[in-house]
Amino acid sequence: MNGRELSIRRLLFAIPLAFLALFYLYPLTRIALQSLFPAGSWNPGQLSALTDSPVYLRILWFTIWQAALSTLLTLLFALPGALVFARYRFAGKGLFLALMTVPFVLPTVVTATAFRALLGPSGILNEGLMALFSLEQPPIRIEQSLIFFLLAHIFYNYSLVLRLVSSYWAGLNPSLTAAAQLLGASPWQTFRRVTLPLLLPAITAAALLVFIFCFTSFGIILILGGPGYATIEVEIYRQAVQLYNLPMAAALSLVQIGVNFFLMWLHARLGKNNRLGFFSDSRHDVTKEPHGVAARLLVAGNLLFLSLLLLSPLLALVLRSLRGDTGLTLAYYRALGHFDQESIFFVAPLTAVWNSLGFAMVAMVLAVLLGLAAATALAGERGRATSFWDALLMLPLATSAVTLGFGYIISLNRPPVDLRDSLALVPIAHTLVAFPFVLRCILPSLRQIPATLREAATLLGASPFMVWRRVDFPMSRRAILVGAVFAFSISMGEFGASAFVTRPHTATMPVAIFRFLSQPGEMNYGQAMAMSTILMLVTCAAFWLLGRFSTTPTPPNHPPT
Amino acid sequence: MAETPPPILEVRQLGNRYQGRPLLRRVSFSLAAGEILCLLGPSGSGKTTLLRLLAGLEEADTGTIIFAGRDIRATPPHKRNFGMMFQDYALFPHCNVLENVTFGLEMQHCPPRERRQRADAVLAMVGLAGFAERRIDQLSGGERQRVALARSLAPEPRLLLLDEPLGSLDRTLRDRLTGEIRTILKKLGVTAIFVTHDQAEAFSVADQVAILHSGRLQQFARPEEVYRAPRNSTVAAFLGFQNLLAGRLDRTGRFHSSIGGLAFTLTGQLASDEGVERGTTEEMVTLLLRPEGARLAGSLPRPAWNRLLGRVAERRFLGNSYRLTLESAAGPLRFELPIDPPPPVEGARINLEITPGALVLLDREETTDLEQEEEGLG
Repeated sequence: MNGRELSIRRLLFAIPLAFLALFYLYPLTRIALQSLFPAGSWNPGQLSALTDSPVYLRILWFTIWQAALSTLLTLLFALPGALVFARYRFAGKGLFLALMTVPFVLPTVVTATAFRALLGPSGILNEGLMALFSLEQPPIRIEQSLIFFLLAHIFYNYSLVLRLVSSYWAGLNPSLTAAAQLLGASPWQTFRRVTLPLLLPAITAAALLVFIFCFTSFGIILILGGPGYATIEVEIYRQAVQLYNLPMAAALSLVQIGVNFFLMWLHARLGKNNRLGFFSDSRHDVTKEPHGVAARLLVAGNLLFLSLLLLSPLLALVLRSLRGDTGLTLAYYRALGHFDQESIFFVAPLTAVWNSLGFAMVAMVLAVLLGLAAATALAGERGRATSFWDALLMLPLATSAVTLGFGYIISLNRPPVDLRDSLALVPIAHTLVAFPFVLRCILPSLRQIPATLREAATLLGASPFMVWRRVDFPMSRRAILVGAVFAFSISMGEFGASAFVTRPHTATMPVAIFRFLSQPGEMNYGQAMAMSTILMLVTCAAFWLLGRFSTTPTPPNHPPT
Repeated sequence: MAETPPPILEVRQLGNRYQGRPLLRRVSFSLAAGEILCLLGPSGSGKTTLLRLLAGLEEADTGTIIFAGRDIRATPPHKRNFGMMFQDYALFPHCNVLENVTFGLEMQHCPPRERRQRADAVLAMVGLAGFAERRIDQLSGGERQRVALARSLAPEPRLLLLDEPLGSLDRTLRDRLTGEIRTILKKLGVTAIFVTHDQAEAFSVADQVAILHSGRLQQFARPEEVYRAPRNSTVAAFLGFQNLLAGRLDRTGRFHSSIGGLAFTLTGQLASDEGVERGTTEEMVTLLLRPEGARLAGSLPRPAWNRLLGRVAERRFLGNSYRLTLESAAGPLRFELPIDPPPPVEGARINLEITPGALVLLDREETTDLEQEEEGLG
């Protein structure tokens, strides 16, 4: 690589780096300063107040055990499903796999709303049961209870575990289990001594991911848990937005950031140690038809559970959005169109829709441009320095959206960067959340391009820019597209940071849904359902489109909440 | 045929289909205890399927497998006490060498002390003494192959199945290990079935060779016999014989090629052939001309029996012989000729005499009929 090219690469890399410094590292530094130097001088009192007060310890403890319990339950339900998808062949398997991508793309606020539509006091199930048995009270009362948001956590993470573990399982060399059998191991011994130990890395990695997502759960707990439950994320929101206790919110954020960094580091380490070469090189189909009653029951039972878990909340959401007092109605959808006095609510619903679409477009373009610049700069080299810069750019992934949003409101509200009322604040936050995903889409595809192709193009007379335009860009077009759709739907569904940084005139759809749900009244409830349905359809449509472009729209990770 | 020991393995009419396509069609053979059988065939010929049926990893659709006097088709693989060496070795990546080798012994509830002793002994036998604590990913390809052999031998299997165990190694290592495997198996007296698509490997390891093609057993015989008298043109072609002439056998037992009108007399061969009624009908057959059966002859005024006239298309020096490609009336034919005297150079017209012993008649009608019948049933 000549000197000119090197300086171009450095220049390219400087753009995402500067963005990261200004809109990620700076807010984080402000959080640290706010909690350690609340009044301009060293005072770690907030942190010690955290550890001294039983209230905050209880919150921390609750955050940990609800995440652990969610993880355990998810594994319990998803592992039998993983067995079914790894080992059996059945009709409609592709359809079920496609259905499982739905939770990946569904915004948390929509999920929470959908569960309320299904199991809430005025949800489909309760209303149906009340009508059927002429009951006065809703029979299912899990609103504001643990079960409610545990169910939503399982909904969110079930397909993640199932897909991760089953694809790993299907990739295990089938001769290993055959070898164990021929050495005299019974089916159960084979599973315990060979299959399980080999699956363990995948199970651990999946479990850790689920734990991380549930640890940083915000929207679901806020909407389904009610005031009785608070994770660290929810508490940060309460302290900052409701109690305006910024030093305490900052101290909690600092804890959250520390724990998240540790968990992400653990996940990265696990991934590094797991590269055992036990994937069969001949990947012939090892799935078989389910023979016998037990196998058929296993397959049918899991598919039934899967369909019920994934489809019933979504169907309930759509139904509930269409059902008024007198039967089917579009009233809630029509109500979104005008900003009438009946809703004592300060965001015009239609404004939120346009805001969301506009912000998502801007965030998508920004994230793709930054991702392209960073990936182009990083793709050419490999080594310690490169992996350091790569890891640095991925840091936002290890930061919860809530801490990011909180960091924005305490840092970007004054010079040198005052964006308090700027329209740019929300798309910037969304870009930062989406950027690591876009980078993870583009970088591997750029790295897969053999260096000889670029060399051949150069020797045929192409300038470095022409090489990029004629070789790199066309060969990674699909990955760029995937990254763009990801960025778009992450922005559409983003709630954690938006809850902090939106103003009435910049409110997005998830924020509006949350506001609707917080207000009493059938109209508000119905409008939340209607808007959630629209949001669900938009994100699903984006991914459906993606599926038509690329053969395997496998998400690199879970979108943040 | 005087003192053949009673067979330990008898396979009768074994057949298997996969998604409606037959993989194996009515395969029958038997194998004596302590013998090494090589299943030889191109990829897709059904050899691995046959091995997996014997192991119990797949279920046969038809036929029986009798081992040591018992039908074992209903016995699950883990109760058969057969060993198997896989093409990719299938070593457990989460276990070290010792844990891999003792796995089978543990399943037999062998006490720990004895387990260790037997593992050490078998590791020493395959030349891996001192490797017990190594991790699998620290081993070279050849070492992995030895661990796989040690692991399958440790529980003293009643039958050892080897699925292209040397397939992924390079040629030199392969040649050495082929010899070693035979030595070890013979020392232990293990009955073994070895799958390969490499005929040199098969010939050097096997006591018996079974040649499979499109799921059919084409020939089952000792390696020398297979080479000397391949049963049909499929086998001959698979073994690398190129000089195959289609033609007819007349009533006097003489062969006339369909192309080029070459004529051969096979008196010696036909006389010993049982059950052939000479002179009643004409048959369409294939004639194999073994490459080593030609010698240079003086020119004759007119075409004669067992003579080939033609131009030397290519003369290649192979070290201990010359390979001559002769452009004959029936197309190119290849022969190996002694280096002394050197055969004529390319372009020369020569006259070769073929000894009757180098002529093998293939595809006699009775075999053809049988195959057609099988086809109809299969």
